[in-house]
Amino acid sequence: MSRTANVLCAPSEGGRRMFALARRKTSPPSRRFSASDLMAHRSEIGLPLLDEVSAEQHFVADDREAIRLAEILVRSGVAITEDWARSERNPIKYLPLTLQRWVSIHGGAAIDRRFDLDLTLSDRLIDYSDERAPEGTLYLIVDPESAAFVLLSPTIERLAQAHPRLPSTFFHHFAGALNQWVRVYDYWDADERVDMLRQWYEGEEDADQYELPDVGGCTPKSLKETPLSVKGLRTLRETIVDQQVNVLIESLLGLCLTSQKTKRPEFTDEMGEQLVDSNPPLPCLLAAFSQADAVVGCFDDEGQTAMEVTPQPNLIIPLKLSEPVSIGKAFRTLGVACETLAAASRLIDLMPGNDDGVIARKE
Amino acid sequence: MDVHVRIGDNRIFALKQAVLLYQEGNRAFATLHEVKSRPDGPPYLCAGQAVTTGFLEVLGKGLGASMAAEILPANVVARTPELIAWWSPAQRRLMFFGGESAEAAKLNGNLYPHPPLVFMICGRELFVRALAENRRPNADTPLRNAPYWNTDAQGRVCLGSMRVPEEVSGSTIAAWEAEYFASEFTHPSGAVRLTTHAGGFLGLWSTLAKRKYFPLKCLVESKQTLGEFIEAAHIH
Repeated sequence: MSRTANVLCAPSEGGRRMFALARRKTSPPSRRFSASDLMAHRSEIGLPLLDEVSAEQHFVADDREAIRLAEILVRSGVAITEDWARSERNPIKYLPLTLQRWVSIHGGAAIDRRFDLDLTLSDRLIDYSDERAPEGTLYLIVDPESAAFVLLSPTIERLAQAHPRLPSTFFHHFAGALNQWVRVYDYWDADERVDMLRQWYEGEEDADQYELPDVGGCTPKSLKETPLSVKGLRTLRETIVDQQVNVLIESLLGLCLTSQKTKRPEFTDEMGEQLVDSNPPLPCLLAAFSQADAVVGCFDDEGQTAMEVTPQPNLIIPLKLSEPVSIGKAFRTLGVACETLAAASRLIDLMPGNDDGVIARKE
Repeated sequence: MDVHVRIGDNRIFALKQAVLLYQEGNRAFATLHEVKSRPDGPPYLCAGQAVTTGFLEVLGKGLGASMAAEILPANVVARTPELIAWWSPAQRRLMFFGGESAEAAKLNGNLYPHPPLVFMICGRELFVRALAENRRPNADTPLRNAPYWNTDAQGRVCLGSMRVPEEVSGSTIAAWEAEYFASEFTHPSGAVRLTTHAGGFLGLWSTLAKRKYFPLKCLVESKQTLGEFIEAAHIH
């Protein structure tokens, strides 16, 4: 074989160490020249393959807790044996597969459509902290990579046409159902921010020269109405003739129902010790009245300093390895949190003006 | 929802990007490629983009090579992200001696004159050499062995129980120096000639308690300039 041919052949056939190129389809060998042999080769692009390169490297120091958890999850029906083969019998790979599957069957696709979240199984609440949880305790932690966005005004205007108390009722239950599990940044947070900024500036000589975001000015008056209870909303729905409003209410009632299926775990003293001096959780959702209103302004302003101190996780679900029954319950709690987020994502899909908030996922 | 598992020190590092280096003679450039995985085949490289200085800065920061700007004290002679070297004029200092030697115990806790010194911290290691002249050295200044126990032929100090300051920066070099002399000299470190004094280390220091200046003729040549000293530690 000529030197050139040796370089260009597939690596298994040549002696040189090189990146494997994708094989091109060629016609079977023939004893006589055919026309295609005499023609110049088509210009093709071969993707450089990394045949002999490991796609991942594992660092394993002590996997006893991972093995114990995996065993409990299999026994409690959360994990499945098929994933064990997929994980190549590695508990550190088996656990993420189990978590992915659990999230997936509890609305993962709908969540990913709108929310950019991380689910972490960890032995500590702060990733880089030296202080880990007591031995035998792990945590499921939900936190945002970035905040999702929901535009409220078009929905509020539509609801206000159907009934004057519908806008405040909708907002109250929508934000309330989500806040049960994750943090929503809304006009109440923005209002608090403005109050705080005002207090900072009040002591200064030229305090009147500071401009503050006008949260009150951008908040629809209809939100000042007293919201209806869930029961009252159900009753009201019977009288609504607008089909789109009816669909929104129905979806909202579904969200409320899902959210209340179980309670979120309590924030314990032991968690508090790990998170002493931490900032509030990062918002998973920004609920604003328009794309660039005072609420968005306050959110951006808070965002400048949100990471100066470690923020608290949005949702912490402790797992006690010594109490296998509680671990099944903890995963059901995670399932409810996921279903709530999925229901919220589907509801936002129905809310007018929210075509832009869909997250484009890379393959 | 992205899933992560972080239990103990167990981690799975996934291959995400690759840097390819292209070279022709002494010129080279690099491209950065995303690595895509497939369930049914080996990972493959996507189209690359030229590596920018911005990327290299991010990479450098990720590798811990970033360093905040700082005003250096006048006695600092060299500074890199991993290394700081400074000189210290001749002066009288308290010395403490420990270990098994009864003769050394007699020297404990006295003020002694010391030669001018060059200290260097590389990583978390402390090095010390002496100077034959009491002035700021330059790269070509020949060095002398520091006349101290617990210091090897390369000038590396066995830190032992020395309380090591947390930080390595211009603002903490005085603390490093103070902690060095606040700890005990307990034993010779390896095979190293510490002094030309006929009585050796103990002989030297036993004659110095009542003297004002350190006799520079008692210092042993290191056969190394300051530049070589710093370069050797940096390469190491």
